[in-house]
Amino acid sequence: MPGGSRQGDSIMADDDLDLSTLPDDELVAQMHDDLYDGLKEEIEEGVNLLLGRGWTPYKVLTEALVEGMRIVGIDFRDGILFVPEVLMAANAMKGGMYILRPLLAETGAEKMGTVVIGTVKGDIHDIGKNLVGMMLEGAGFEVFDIGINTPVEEYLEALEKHDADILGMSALLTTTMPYMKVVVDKMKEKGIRNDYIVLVGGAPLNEEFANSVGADAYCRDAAVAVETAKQMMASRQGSVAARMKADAAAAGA
Amino acid sequence: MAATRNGAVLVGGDSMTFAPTYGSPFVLDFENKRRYGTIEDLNQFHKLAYMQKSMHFTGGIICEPVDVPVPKRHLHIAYSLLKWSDKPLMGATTSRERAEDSVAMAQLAFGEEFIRDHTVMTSIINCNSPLVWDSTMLDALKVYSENNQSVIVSPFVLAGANTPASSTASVAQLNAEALAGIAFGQAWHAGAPTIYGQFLVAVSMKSGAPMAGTPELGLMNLMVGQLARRYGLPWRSSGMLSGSKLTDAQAAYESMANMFPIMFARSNLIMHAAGWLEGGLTAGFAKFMLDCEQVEMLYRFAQGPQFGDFDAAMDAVRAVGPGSHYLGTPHTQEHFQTAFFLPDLADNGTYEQWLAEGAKDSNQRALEAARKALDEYEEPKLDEGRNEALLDYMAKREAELPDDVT
Ligand code: B1M
Repeated sequence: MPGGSRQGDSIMADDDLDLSTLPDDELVAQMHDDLYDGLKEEIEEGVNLLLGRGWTPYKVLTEALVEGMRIVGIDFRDGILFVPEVLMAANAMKGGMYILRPLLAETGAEKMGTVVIGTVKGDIHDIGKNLVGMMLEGAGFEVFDIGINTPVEEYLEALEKHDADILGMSALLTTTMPYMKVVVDKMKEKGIRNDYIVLVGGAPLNEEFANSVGADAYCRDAAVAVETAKQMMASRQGSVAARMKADAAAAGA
Repeated sequence: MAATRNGAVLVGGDSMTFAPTYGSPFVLDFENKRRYGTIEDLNQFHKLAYMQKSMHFTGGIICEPVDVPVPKRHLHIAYSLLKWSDKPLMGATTSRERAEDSVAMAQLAFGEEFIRDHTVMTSIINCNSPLVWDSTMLDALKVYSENNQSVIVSPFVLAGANTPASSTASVAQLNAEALAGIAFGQAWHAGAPTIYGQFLVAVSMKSGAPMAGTPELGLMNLMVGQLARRYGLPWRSSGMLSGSKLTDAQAAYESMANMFPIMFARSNLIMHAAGWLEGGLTAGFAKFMLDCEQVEMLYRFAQGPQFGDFDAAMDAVRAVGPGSHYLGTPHTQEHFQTAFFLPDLADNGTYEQWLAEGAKDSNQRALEAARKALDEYEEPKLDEGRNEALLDYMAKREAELPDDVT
């Protein structure tokens, strides 16, 4: 655990710590801890404090929230954090994003990305899809989960309605996997395939299958889905990931 | 009671019956390679299930024949079941139409009259836990119930994900789900043969993946068994489950840790009793053979201690007296083949002998046994006329059905 948590090993009780008394660097570190511990209210408070101190929404997002969730992601991958804990962290992140999203849009700042995700027609398996959706939210994406048994029309409608960047499709049955191709083919037919990043997942899929249906990538689990979504967003104009990549390159140069 | 082409299998009462694994998209094949299943793999599994005396059912989709187009796949699965085995089978449940095809094909194989008063198949009707019965599954239930074919009404528990994080409350939930499904079925068609079912695994909080063989699952199975007896319903459980990718130690101990409480709980139909790997994603040929042998032993175990030859055996004690041994006594001569189960796939010989035979592990020995069994397989001939009728039916339906999912 980075630093020390207010719930766990810190001697200070929750109520005793007044976030507003912390200098910026300590507040950000504390927010990383609070994300780790899934403390939504504290995250919301921290976001408002930083904004009040004149931080840009973009800076709050990247330095306080995205960085905090990066640490959560690593510990989940390494088996230190468990699913329910990660979902609590994602929920705290969502609270912060709720405040930041309109501000980011207002300032014309880059967006994290919008995802439409659903289980394909004929298939009702949704435990994995739900997990992926929540983890994407945890990484700052705006996620529209359109449920199970989703026909192509509903996918297309949701993509347009939410001005999405990413289409996520889930299938757990070998009998429903082929439906992913129906969706991608329809997108091609309408000339909109390249407007979106298409990610697919579900236990019976593999990379070869993802290629064969014309998806951009196969995601074997939720952590990989988040990584892949971030990576793919980095090559999209006007995304936070693209700017972070450019900033990092500039800093390195 | 489920009828075969040459006998009957009782599901319920004191009887315990076993069925192979079900629904795996992948197989772990004869080269120890994990790949998508094919119709050839499925035929082989059905042949093996037919030959194994520990399997009372041929099963259903032991592995998914991914090489057959989806809209036509259920026809080929049903044909494989009816052609390569004569044991009770399982039907499709993923749509009303597919359920109807399964019944129609069973009618052609067994005779329409016969099917009317004999149950020859059972099918898995899954509850979309928590607390949802969907129309797809209930439509299939209606088709089978109307045709006097049994259904397994099964909540499908990933404990901790679609039930609360409590084993006792999970049992309460799955029980309510099963009873609701059964009540619906009986309201639709009173007296329809119905099995109180459930599939039980816990969720790994590291990833969300299913886990088997853990202690709470054993306790839950014991509780469910008591409920089934209280209701007087035949009970289906899930046996040889494991999350392992290979036929290794994890596969073996998880399977048996899962199976033993089920044996004590006296489940009537134990599905996934042979071949299950990787949380059901893979069906393994070696695992299938090893599991079958374990099931044979469990079957013997479930029969309890036998006292039939007790007096004769005690006479042998008196005859041999102190020291010496029993290996040559008449009693041993007469009983050694049945007194203690003698597994074929376990190796208990000397190290040198094992080396000389190629130092094979259980996986390798089991694959060889599967190969040999398939080489020796003899088809339980389906009447030529019935076979023709089945093929005609399939051709007709294939012409009607699309080539691809839409
Ligand atoms: C960006 O987009 C992305 C990115 C990544 C994505 C993604 C999307 N989606 C998933 N990912 C990835 O990230 C996730 C998180 O790490 C991962 O998601 P997963 O979903 O893989 O992992 C979850 C966290 C945990 N895993 C799961 O939740 C699935 C577990 C298994 C056991 C399973 C379950 C739980 C269920 N089932 Co179903 N079920 C099985 C499954 C076997 C298995 N081991 O996978 C499988 C898939 N089922 C099967 C079957 C046969 C069926 N099931 C059915 C029903 C059900 C339940 C309703 C009972 C239940 C689902 C409950 C629910 N609300 O989801 C039926 C079909 C219903 C339908 N129309 O869809 C039915 C047909 C059974 C029947 N006769 O009723 C088999 C597949 C057969 C085939 N043809 O391929 C099966 C392999 C089990 C088996 N051996 O029978 C990754 O795959």
